[in-house]
Amino acid sequence: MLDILLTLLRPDTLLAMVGGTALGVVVGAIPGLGSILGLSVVLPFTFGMDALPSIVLLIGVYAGSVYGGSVSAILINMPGTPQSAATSLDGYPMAVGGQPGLAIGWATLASLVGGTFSAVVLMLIAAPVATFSLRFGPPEFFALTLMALTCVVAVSRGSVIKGLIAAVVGLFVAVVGSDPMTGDLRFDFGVLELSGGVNRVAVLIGLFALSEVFMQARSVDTPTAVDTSALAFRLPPWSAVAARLKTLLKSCLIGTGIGILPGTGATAASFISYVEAKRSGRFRANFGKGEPEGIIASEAANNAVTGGALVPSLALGIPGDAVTALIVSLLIVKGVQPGPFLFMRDPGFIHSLFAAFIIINILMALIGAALTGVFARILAVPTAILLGAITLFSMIGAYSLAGSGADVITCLVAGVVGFVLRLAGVPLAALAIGLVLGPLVEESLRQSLIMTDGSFVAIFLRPYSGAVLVLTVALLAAVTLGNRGERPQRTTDEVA
Amino acid sequence: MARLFARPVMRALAALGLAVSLAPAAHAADPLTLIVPWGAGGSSDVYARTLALSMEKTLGTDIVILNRPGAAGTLGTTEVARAKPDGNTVGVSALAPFTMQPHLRHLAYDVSSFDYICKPYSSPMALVVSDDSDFKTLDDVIGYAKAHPGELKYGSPGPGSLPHLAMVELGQKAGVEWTHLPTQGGDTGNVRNLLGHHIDMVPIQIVPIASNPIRPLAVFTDERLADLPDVPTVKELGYDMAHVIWGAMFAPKGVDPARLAQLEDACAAAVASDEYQSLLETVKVPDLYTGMDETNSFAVEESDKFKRLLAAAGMTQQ
Repeated sequence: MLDILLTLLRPDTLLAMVGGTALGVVVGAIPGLGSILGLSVVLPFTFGMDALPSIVLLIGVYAGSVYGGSVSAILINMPGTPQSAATSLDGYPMAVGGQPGLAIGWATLASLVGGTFSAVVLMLIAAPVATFSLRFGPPEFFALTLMALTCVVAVSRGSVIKGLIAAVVGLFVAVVGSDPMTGDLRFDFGVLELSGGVNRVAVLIGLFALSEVFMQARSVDTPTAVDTSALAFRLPPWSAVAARLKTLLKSCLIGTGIGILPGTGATAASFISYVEAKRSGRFRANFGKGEPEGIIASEAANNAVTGGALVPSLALGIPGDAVTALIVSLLIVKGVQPGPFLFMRDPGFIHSLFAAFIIINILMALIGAALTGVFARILAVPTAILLGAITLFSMIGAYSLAGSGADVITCLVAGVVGFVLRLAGVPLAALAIGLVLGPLVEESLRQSLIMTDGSFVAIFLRPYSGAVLVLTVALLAAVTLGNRGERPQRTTDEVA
Repeated sequence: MARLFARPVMRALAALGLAVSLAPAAHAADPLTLIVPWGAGGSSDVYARTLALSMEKTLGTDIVILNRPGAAGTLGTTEVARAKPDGNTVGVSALAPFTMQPHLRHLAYDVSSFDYICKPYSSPMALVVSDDSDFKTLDDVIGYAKAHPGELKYGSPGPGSLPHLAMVELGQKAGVEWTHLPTQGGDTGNVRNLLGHHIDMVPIQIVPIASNPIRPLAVFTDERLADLPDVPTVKELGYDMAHVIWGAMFAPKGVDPARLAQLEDACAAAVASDEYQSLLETVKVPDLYTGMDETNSFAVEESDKFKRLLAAAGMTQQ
């Protein structure tokens, strides 16, 4: 135990943890720039570093950026990263309601709890959980994506039909490009750039950041009154937290679970967790109006994904997303081979990594608290300048994804489409869910049909996929019945 | 694949960062642009960056690496094809964008649009099953497949990928049918499906074999590998075929032959460098370097072979 602590207190490890986390928070907070950009910035620094400091540097950036996205989601209704899109649903109304500092406090607390929870899960049961998750094959993934898609119904306040249309649009955008099973090109219209598919991150940046810029640009002359006294970072009182403890824990579980399974990620996790809290939370009636329970549902879940995603990465050497793929590759070239044997051969390293992960989550909260005052000052920046800067960052972010002008155009088009959809009261969250899950839905369904010789029924005649389907139907019934009591509201800023 | 190569990337990135920050005053010559039609940290990227370390010194110019991923590598490769043939823009990529994709999509180039300066890497593949599989040899697999047509499922990183086409060819030569289950996520996604018994076998590269409970049955190279001396080649088991994931440095047609020769020499020296050799060792890739003449004719042979195999796989011919 003592030697683990001593490794972590080495100056290079310490510097990597603090520096990586701080950079992650800042990059995450700037709309348009995200986790991947932050990681590419620090990658060169791992040259010449030992295994542990270089890994904690990457993990710090990863966890920090997922948390940082919430800051701009709350303050200016533009999620800094797609992972925090669901946070703006209640975070922004709360900030507008005069409590930006407290809203960030909730997000920070939830991120801290979510991240730490997943770290403990990682520490305790990484190996068995990762092995169990192998039983989830294509049919199980298809069942899970079906369950996630039912969330569309729940996020579609106002009009379920509009939500479903948006989800189908999202699914359709994900279909453009090469067919995952046959390689045939679809909907490319002879344009080479389209034959590789639409860059989904560019779409998300346009959809959430740019379209909000357009929304705010409509009323840019209206001066925003900023109550500077409320900008200071404030943690919620314990009694308020205690009342929302169930949602907090549930969101941790949802995030960790989704993180363990490959291909879904933090964006979907935060939406799914938000929807679940909206269905079952104690304060569900206030959702969308600045209810902290909505903030914690989103933020606990997206940060819990970070630890969850490390479970299969470390225990099996099988990364679930682009970020953990980079971490796994770094481990391998540093001479640490992730996989079932790592836990037996090098327990010291693993325990140091776990401890570092928990420390990073604490650092993240401290850095977030310290920087809130700085971040909150962006509220005092004249709106026109702020909107200009965010447009610029969104373009840079979209270009940096692949160095391609096509992605910038994609981002702009998505921004305009998002703007129109907002005006029409179409929930963007539904579109995002369709878009994010689209490739997984298609791949898992097509693979399943290959496995079952084309039988849709046989997909669900397996224990886990069948169980997930039953759960989905139950959820759908619960959400539908729950919605019946609510009067549909139609508002134009039904944003997501 | 991408995950196997990060250290050299870091090393290269760091060196490159230094080079970029310190070099402008030092070199008067135009920089050499290496276009990598794949993402940063991918295997082609790592090879390119490691080659660049030594080539900067040999050529005495700065080297700028541009990652231009997208559309299965064809976006960046198109950029190379359209570049001015002044010898200052070349591409580095594994084989698919120039030997396979022209058979699959309408592109502004085909295999004959480039001069292939050198072949700096050739990553072998092995057909693997999980440790608890009943199949101990390739003959076991083929015997079972003969008795149960279409029942065995093999994975690949995607339709038209080299593992896919290798299995199509092996199926042809052995006279058996098996089912293709492509999975995104490269070798790791396929290892996951193998360990979860969602597929029966998959051709993957060599590095993951040692760290996972999986068993290699045969390698697709011409000769046995030093890293897997007991694993027979597909060829010695009676199936006359070989596949390897090779990569080339390539220039648009029309570059001055003297410049091409200069780049070829620099590539050869870079492959022989300590950094590059230690990269090959880390990723368990044998040094199968060939120069321009041999690589040029090899590229054409491979392109013809893939045209035939893609047709056999029923993939769209355009």
